[in-house]
Amino acid sequence: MKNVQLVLNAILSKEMFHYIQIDEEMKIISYSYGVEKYFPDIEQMAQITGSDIREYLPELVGSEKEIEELFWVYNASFDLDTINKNGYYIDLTIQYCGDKSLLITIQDNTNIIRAQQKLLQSNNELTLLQNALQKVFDQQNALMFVVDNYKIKFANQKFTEHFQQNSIEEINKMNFEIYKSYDENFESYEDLFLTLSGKAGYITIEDEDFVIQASKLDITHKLITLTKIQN
Amino acid sequence: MIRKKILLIGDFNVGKTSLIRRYVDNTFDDKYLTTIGVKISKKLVEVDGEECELLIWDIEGATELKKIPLAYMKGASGAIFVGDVARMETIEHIDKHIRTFLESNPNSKYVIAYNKADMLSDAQLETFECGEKTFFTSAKENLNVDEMFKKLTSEMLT
Repeated sequence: MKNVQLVLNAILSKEMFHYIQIDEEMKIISYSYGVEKYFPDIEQMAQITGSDIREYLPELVGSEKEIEELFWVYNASFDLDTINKNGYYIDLTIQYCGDKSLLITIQDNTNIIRAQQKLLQSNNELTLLQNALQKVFDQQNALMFVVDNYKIKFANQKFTEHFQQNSIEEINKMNFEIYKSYDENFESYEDLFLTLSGKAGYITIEDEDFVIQASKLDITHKLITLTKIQN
Repeated sequence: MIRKKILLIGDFNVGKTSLIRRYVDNTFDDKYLTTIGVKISKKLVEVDGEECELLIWDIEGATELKKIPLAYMKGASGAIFVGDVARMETIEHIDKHIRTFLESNPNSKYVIAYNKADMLSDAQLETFECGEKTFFTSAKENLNVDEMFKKLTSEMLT
């Protein structure tokens, strides 16, 4: 066992992996050097040999049945991913390792997960902002939509309701070239935008008359507003 | 000592972490920091003279694309389903979260937190349909947080 531990310690020396070996009663038998950094209240891991692993990994509470099965189900493993321990992010894998013991492998993914966290944070904030903007647009009486040169990228509720579609995807499937309703020679929303040149125009779509206005959002995107003319 | 595993489940940015921080440390921070994976907090409580350690799992917000891993769900004695009263879609998703949780833990107890209640008026809160498991909570103003955890703990131990 001592040799195995030396080999493992060498493999684990890059500190991306650690291990804890436990017995049938979930008591700690051995561990790799440095594993204490994941446990906030421990200075000396040596003190915890013989302790119940659940004291230090309460994440295992409730999974005792699955862990017990590892002793008699061949080649089985129990995985618990992306656990925040003392500021580190770790993945746990538990497998049978002989001598009536289990090996808990701790893989440190802190750098990767911190990068993921930043991406997720940005994505979530963007989603919140998008939802808030959608609500603002949906409260407008006009039909509003955002286009690039050829396709509709965003539309408010009034727009989708008017054209009896549930989503932008459905609208774009219809090959909705509104710019051609203004002038059939137009080839893109850019043509429509340049013609309107910041002024209001008139357009008839499916026998209904609208006042149309377009404003530039960035180099390719325009916001187009259609206000229905009541006859 | 009895140990009980409790999960906090809900969409992102509904205030799961804030509810835990309020309950465990009695603190609150307005800044939104997305939880990734899971983080466990412990709280020692006494119910009918008996000590119980609550292991409270703060789980990353569930989305359509990212479901809660089954391994997180296993062995939970209880759950708190959290929605944000200012974002109706997060309240509407609670039923789905409950169904998923009960598939793994059919005998577990749960309560529902309609969180960020401080953002709405009393008249607006009255428009919500509530059952006896539902609490209007605010981690910011410490509204009903202890009461909700107490109710869940008491149900888990009976």
